[in-house]
Amino acid sequence: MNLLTLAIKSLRNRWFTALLCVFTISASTTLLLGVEHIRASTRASFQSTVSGTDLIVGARTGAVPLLLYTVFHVGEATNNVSWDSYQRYANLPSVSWTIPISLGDSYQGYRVVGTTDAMFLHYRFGAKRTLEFVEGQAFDNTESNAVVGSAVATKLKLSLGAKLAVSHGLGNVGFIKHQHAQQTLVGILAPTGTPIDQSVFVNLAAIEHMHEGFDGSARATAMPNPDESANATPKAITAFFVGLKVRPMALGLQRKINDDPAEPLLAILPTATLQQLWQLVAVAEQSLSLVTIAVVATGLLGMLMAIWATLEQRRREMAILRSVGARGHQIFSLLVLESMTLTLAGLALGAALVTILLTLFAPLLASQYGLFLSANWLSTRTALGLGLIFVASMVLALLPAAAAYNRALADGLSVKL
Amino acid sequence: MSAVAIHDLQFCYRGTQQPVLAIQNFTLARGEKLFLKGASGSGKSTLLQLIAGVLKPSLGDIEVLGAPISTLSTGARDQFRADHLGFVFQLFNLLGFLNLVDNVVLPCRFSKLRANNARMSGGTLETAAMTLLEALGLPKSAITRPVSQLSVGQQQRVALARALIGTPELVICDEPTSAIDVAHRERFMQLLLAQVAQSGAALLFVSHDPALERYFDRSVHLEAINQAAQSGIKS
Repeated sequence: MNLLTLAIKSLRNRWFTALLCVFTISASTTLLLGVEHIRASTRASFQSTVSGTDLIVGARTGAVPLLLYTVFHVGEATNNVSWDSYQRYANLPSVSWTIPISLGDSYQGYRVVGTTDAMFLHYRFGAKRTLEFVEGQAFDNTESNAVVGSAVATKLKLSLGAKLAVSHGLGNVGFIKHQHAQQTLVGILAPTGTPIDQSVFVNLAAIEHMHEGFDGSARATAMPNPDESANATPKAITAFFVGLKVRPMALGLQRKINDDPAEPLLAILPTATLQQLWQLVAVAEQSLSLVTIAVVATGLLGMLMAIWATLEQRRREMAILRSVGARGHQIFSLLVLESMTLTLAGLALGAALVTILLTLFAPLLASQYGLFLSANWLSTRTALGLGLIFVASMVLALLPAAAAYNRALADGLSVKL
Repeated sequence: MSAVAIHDLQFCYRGTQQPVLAIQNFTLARGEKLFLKGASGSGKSTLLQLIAGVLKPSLGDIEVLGAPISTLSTGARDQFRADHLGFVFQLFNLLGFLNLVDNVVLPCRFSKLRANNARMSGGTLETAAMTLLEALGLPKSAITRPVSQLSVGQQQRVALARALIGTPELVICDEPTSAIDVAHRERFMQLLLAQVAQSGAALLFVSHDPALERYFDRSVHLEAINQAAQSGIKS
């Protein structure tokens, strides 16, 4: 039996306060690990809302608005990209693939994205994942077919073969329904945790076809042409995604597009702009971290108080230990070991708790909020957090240890209770 | 070489000028059983802590078992106490969170010397503790009970076993019987003296109860040797 067992036995004797201490620390730990893990996961999932795309090109606007309406489907484009410009860049030898998108319509409040089958071949999100189908498949470019994101399918209870009447405009209930051009649902995508889940994809040509005769949208109007079928060539698109054969050429092409003398265009590097966008929420992120640190500090102070409160009752215990030959530094160590035991138990319990909570609630978070959390919360930052809790608690433990040391030396063997 | 030898000792509490203890000469021979009589407040506890090396004298020297205890370093004094001294206090000698055997074995955790001594007599520390507890008349059924369920008399016997384990050369008892009722006091004294005689330790027994004087080789009145008390100075 060494000092550690002595410390543990002494703690066991005061098991209720000890347990409360452990719970306080474990609650702080769970909160710290949970918040940090969710924060990092949210950030990572946000940063990889779109991946593998080297450039996003739209009409000249701000970089953040362009990213917002092309990737997050927030806000509207103020202008279009002419089909000619799109073709010019799409056919550059350095360009590997492009995905044209045409926005501005909605279905039951969900954004409609006019695009081509390139979307399902080339669009990447997360760790370069492609869009996967849980049911059906991609449309080909000749028919009036639609593919919906997982959230759309779930919320609207859509199944393959459903007829979707796309509305013009973005209102929840469109003013004008393209009743004459219903889209047949041919594919349902797997959840991605990105705005893709909230989107309805239709054939770009079909969208163009629907708008024949309409005027007054931000879209460049295609004049009705009875010769054109569903595979009509659009006059304009909202934006396009570009994948290059050689990634480092992105900067050069970006400059070239931004300086295009024929049409005012804007090309952005999505990764850089995603980071820029994240800066907007960084304040919230930081205040969350601050609150977490405050809670952890409260937990540790709770432990300090609990140990401090017992010191007075334990003067006799210290005198007995001194009488059998315990040195001052051993009394000191005993108190430090006690705090260490409580802290380690608290950290272990907290880590176990956060793992259990993540395992239990990850499926719910994924399905309800599109937030994909792994049960493995261990990262450099969380490890650092655990280390900091431990170090902070050890530093705080020096206070009661020093007090016990001083009292034990002053009291000697003669504590009368 | 005596168990305790004190010369020209003076002790004042820190920050005070008035000595609470002033003893010119005091010796306790090895193996001697000494009854130290004194009213409460006469400086008994102070003297015991000086001998134990918990306090340092302001003047003079104290030798315990030939070691100049007052000039040793703090750590060395603590180690010396662990190795050579056994204590029994008036009350609350035991740690409630340890079982009886662990309580008895406690000094062996801080002293290799006493651990080795105990092993030589009993094989393991636990058997040595059990042997002592049985020799002190503690019923087997009591040995497995938690400290809180023992009577005061039983607790004092456990404390005595702890003071005796590993055969320290000096056993100091500070009013160990004052909380025990008279009927059990007799028995406790007999067991104490028998065990001390067996281990050959010197015994310094402090009490204000003159009825116990008869058990000892010699009796000393603290007031008689403490010049600080004689001159009417009280701590």
